[in-house]
Amino acid sequence: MKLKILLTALLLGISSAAARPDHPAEHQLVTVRVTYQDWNEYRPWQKTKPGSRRFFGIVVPGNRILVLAHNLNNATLIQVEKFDRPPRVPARIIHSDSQANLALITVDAPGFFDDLNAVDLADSMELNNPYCASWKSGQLTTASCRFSQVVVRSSFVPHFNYAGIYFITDLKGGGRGEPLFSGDQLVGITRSQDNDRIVVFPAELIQAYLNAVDLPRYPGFAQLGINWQTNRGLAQSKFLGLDGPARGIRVRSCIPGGSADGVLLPNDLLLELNGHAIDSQGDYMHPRYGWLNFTLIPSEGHYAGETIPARVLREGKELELDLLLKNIPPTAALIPASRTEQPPPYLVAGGLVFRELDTPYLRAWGDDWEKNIPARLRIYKEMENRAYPPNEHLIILTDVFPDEYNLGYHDLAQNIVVAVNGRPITSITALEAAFQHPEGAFHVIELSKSYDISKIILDAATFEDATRRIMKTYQIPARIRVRTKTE
Amino acid sequence: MNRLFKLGGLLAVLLCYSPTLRAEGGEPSVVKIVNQYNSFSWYTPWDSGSTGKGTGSGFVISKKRIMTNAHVVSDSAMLLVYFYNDPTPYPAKVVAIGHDCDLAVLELEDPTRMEGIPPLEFDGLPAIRSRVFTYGYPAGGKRISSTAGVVSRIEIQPYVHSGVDQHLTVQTDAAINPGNSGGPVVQNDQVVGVAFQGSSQLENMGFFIPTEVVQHFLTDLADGTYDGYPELGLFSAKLENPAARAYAGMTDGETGIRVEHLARGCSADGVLLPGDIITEINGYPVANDGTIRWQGLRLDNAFLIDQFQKGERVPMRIIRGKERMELEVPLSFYNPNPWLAKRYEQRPEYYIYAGLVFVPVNRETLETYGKNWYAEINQELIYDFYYRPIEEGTPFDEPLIMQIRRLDHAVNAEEARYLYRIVDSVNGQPAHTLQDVASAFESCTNAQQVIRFKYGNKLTVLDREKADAAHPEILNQYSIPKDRNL
Repeated sequence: MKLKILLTALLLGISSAAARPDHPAEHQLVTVRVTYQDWNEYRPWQKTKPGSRRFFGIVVPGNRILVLAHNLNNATLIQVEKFDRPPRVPARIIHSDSQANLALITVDAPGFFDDLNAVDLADSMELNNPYCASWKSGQLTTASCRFSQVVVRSSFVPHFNYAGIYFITDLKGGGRGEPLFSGDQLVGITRSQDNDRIVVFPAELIQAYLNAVDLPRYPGFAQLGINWQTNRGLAQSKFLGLDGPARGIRVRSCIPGGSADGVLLPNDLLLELNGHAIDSQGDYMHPRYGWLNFTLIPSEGHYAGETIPARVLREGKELELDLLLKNIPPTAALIPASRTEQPPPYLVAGGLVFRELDTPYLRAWGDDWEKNIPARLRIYKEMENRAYPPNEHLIILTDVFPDEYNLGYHDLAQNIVVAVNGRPITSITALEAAFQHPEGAFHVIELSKSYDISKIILDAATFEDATRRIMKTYQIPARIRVRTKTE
Repeated sequence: MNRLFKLGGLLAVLLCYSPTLRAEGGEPSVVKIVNQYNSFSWYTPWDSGSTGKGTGSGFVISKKRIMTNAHVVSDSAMLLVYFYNDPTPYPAKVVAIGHDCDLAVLELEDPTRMEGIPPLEFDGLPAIRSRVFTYGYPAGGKRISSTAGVVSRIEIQPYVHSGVDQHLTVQTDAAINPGNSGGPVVQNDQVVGVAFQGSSQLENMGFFIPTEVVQHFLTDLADGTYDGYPELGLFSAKLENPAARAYAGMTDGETGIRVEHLARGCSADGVLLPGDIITEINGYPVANDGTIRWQGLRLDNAFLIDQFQKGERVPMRIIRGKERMELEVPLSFYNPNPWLAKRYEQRPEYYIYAGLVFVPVNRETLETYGKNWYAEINQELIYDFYYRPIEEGTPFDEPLIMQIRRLDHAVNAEEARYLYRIVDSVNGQPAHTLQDVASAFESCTNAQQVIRFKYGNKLTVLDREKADAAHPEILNQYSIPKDRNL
């Protein structure tokens, strides 16, 4: 391990305490308060009960404040406080990267930044008595931290891998963007806390993000985009054409649109990436952190758009390939993992509620959603790792608002729509268009074959009247929302 | 409606296998049955079975025969029958068992004990609200117990013993408790049903198998073998919406259900077509909600199919492409239900090569994954087992093989391990059955044994010579007497 931790950190073992009154962090750390309101995934025309969040922002050069991006989700009001004291001043988002989970906000009020100072980002991992700082009741408090390990983690919003640094800490209720200092230098920003363990985004990721924001066009971070298996076994290694000790990993498949798509092939042994040798369980020697998983390489010091070399063994021959790094948007999947800023697209037709199927919808089943969602949706979610055309989504019939018009269909829920009036349905826009072309006197909605009904027939002549009547009865304000952004 | 393949049915509970028993007599025609069972594990299929004792009830139906529930005598290693006021156990054997209708017939090894015992006679379906009595040996009691109640409801319900079947049931508030299973339900001194299951959702309610189902079982059995219920393989839609009826060209007053799709290979496959409207089955008009009227009851139309035996023909009236027509659906012997059902009296099949354990994908092997297996297991298994046959029209009984375990050894421990994954091929040979897998491994002359899994391009490779050499060593180490039961 190349990381040097001074013993003093352990010996001092400082617990949470008010920092000295003139601590430099007082002028580098602000409190952010956000009021937010999430979409009601089940009733996509309305929002859920508003809530509020309090978290921390770190002052960075250019009169900007660095925060964790997820804290800004569905914000209806953003306010910043200096020294954890009034006044609360309105702030606005400058930039947000939901994958890296970092965002910049600023305050337009003149003179706001006059008594604030930008943090100094650490350029090494030499830790000297590291501690977390946060505001509590108008006082700056610090909590001692002890380095634990570095682990390559996948971001909550796919697809991004980062080196998460784990510390054991005295901090309570952290993970809200508290800065982690060594001396007066910023080592990282606290991403999450689980009991006494915090995960910190390292300074180099913060620096890479700040550099990227300053580019004329934000490139985003890249992801290799492969499914792979280890190559520890000598029998497999030999089968794949490698003599000598096992090394490299076996590519099982490439995620469509990812960096590896079309460059690496299934069954390739990936031996090196960007000059780093990959061992048989997928680790490489990180210059500072030691052995880490190779999926970190494409985002370590690189942005989408750059090219890195890869060495593979393909059908017994070693090949040197150029990998153009690409960002894989979180929306790129049959069931998108996130919608970013897009409210859920939906359509109410004859009392039947249709919407695009995405992971936020599935999450509405609660903490154990993966176990509790309907069986067929669980299969779609788990087996979706296949080629999917861009901008095509699964459309789901979520439920039915009962009316005489839709008699016989009142209990339908969670069915996948295949076609309407003979037209294949892959978006709300396509669904709306298909309802303009009834099959004679009927609307024919074809559902994915199941143990349930697979064809819904509705009367076309009274369709629009019924839709209006049902919307009135059940107080549905708007019939349709289409996707405003295309990826 | 369809009887096929219900994932559910988990709420009902079978009413036997109470672990304790104390025996003494009772009504002469009602017996107590003690089942010394032996059931094998599908997770460690080479192990000897887990043994135990369960008790249930039964009743004499002829000079030689005793009727009871299938679940009372399943997985039996030894059966003992106790008669009224007689402490002597009489060894018995199962002569016929219908897991799909949860009924079985026993005979004594020595039939002389049955002489002089009056067989009980069957009557038809009891009227709703009429009074019935149960007889049996609930909760390990020594003396026969009788309870009384009324007929609460007559309906098609899941038969939980097989996990996939549904037939007519009668619900009663006469207490039916563990140990009552297989006992007669009596009205006016005649048997109107066989007590068999309860429901965890309903308090003080029990279910019995009506004589319609009992007679179907006995009629089927008349030729000496039990073939089981025929399977139409019909997935249908109700037509409660007027637009759905108009779309099908139905006139006012016409009622029926629409054929959505048909299970491949089942009786109606190729006879009925998707989009057909079934208006009448065996002379009974089918209502828009899929029910028929029978003896004053509203029952699901599946009840009518249950009246037939395999090999018979069901007359139907249908609308096809707006043409009214009559046809007959010949009921074939093919029924994929047992494939999807729980398995009894079977030695689990498996094949081991160099520590890799392969088993067929079936209800029993899937359930080895744990209580919430259907939600937590790799979903490719659920898709291929339950959904692909519907969505892609493949047969429900298409065989699938999965790797269930790996017995670690230096020869396999470093190689990729994929458990509860469907095997696609071994050394390039398709792996549909354990025989396929065994012959692909054993006929291999390559340097490596290559196992490919069906989804995700997953691969396991073993060095053939080393694996061949390690194979007996692994069996010995893990104390496995045989490497296969194909």
